Amino acid sequence: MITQTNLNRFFDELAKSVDITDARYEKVEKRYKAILDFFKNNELKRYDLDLYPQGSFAMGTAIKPINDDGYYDVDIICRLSDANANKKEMKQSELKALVGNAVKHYCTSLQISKKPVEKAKCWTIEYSEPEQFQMDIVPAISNSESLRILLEKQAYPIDYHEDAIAITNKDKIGTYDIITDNWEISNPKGYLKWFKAILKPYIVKLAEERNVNIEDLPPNQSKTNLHKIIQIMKYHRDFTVGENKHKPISLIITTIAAQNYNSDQNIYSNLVSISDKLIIAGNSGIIINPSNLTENFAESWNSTPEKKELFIKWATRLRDDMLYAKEADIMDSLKDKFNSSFGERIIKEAFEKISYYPPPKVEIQKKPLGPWGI
Amino acid sequence: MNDVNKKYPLLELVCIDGDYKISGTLRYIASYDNHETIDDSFNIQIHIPDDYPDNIPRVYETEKTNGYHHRFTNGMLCLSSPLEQYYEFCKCKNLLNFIDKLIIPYFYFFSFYIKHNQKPYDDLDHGEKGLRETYKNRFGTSSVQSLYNIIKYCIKVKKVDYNKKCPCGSGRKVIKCFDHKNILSMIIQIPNSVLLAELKAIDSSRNQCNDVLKTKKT
Repeated sequence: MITQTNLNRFFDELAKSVDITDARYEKVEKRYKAILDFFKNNELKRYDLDLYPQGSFAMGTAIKPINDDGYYDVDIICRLSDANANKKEMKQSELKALVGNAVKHYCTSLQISKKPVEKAKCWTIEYSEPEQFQMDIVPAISNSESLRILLEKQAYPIDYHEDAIAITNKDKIGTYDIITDNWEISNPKGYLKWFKAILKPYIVKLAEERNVNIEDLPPNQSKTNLHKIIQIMKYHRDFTVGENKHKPISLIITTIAAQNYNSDQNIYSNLVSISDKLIIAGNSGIIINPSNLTENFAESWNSTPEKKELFIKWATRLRDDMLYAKEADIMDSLKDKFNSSFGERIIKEAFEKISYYPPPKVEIQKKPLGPWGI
Repeated sequence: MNDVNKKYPLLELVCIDGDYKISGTLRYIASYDNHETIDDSFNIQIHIPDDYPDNIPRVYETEKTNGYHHRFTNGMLCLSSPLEQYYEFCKCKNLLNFIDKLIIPYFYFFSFYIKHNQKPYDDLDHGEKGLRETYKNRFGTSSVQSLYNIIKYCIKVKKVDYNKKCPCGSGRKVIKCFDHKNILSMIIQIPNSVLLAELKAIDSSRNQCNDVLKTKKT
């Protein structure tokens, strides 16, 4: 039987192995700040701009791509807030084109060879080799009022509405090209606030342990066990599910993990209990967005049952893998099993790290005791 | 245990049904004299007896040492003869010392032997012969009678009286029997159950164990 301490040490190192480097975080920050500067001085000069990362880079749960030559995806919200940028005066298509022009101009100025690609909700910049990352710029306008009204209508608390935004969706033909109040609501900043509120007690503890102020903790160095659990689960998903348009989305994984995280238990116990909760949530088909209680993250499962199926299949495999770890006799058998769930490269890295901060040197004294037997 | 954990972070103290065990991976780089340095790891269980440190721990390994002749079929390792184990353990009664001075030399011997089909240092013969070797090694005598006397002495005596004769048969008082003075005070710490088992192994035909049992120290 592998002891809990060893399992925990292993998963801790596994999380560090799938984590991205500080340099990568810094690069992303530098990139989007450069974009912000450029936009402010060019096409979008007249708007009060806010540019911020959403999703895993904002939360500190970003992971490495599963292949050496894979890409890092960064989502950036580009929110315009000005009297001129509101639903009464602007169509979604106009906002998309406005930001699109700025993005195109930026790419030319930087001599990025690939033209930015237009997707349903964003513009994608593919940076040249060897940067290995692409940035999705999501055009948005402020939308706090709409979310507030929506929440109030259903008598929900309005905790996170201030930061809600409206985003464009080219695929929704009926609303894309007309002046309408009917825009998609998104609330990445509100979600981040919710996530950070859950993390706060652990971050405070972390800061105390290191004897620094919370503000002085760099985002990538304030990793709690919750971050690590999310990263491990996401990597497991990426590796076992692979490229699939019905792949379980990170937001669902993050939400369920954060809601069910138990700080009294170690990483491994949490992985076991949270993977159980993933299966339960998967079966129910209801995963409410905590920053917009009117939204069910799994809404699309109704029209695309493959998504639900794949989610449950993946979550079950995750749970089985975690339970296997408990049953396994020795660390080495874990290696074989997990190679097929996380990939040899990452498992080898994690094993090398737990193989154990250079092993101690032992000098055997002269004329040692020989073994004996009956 | 803290020292053990500091040096060997993958070893952990666990309590199963009231029995304490140290379980996990023992990883080290061991060197001996001018022989090859060996980097190796073993998944082990160290069973701590209830009367520890009067009684020494037992060590189990059931993966790499399968079929090795210095191991019981249940996985318990024959680290060395009881005399040698207690001799080493009594010098410094803690688990880290036990690992460094007994377990790692055992595994080093094993790894070296498997790799080169050669022994890096001597091992002991099995059974009675090995026991006699070990007593000869420490007392310079291997006659059944003197071994018998020594062990019997250690079973009976709680504290070595330096003014009495040494059980080695030299006729000298213990205080003048320089080689044996220290070792005697260590062997008397070996639990009587172990000494009695040794006694039986050395000379089962004599059948004198019962006499000793009657007179054993309490």
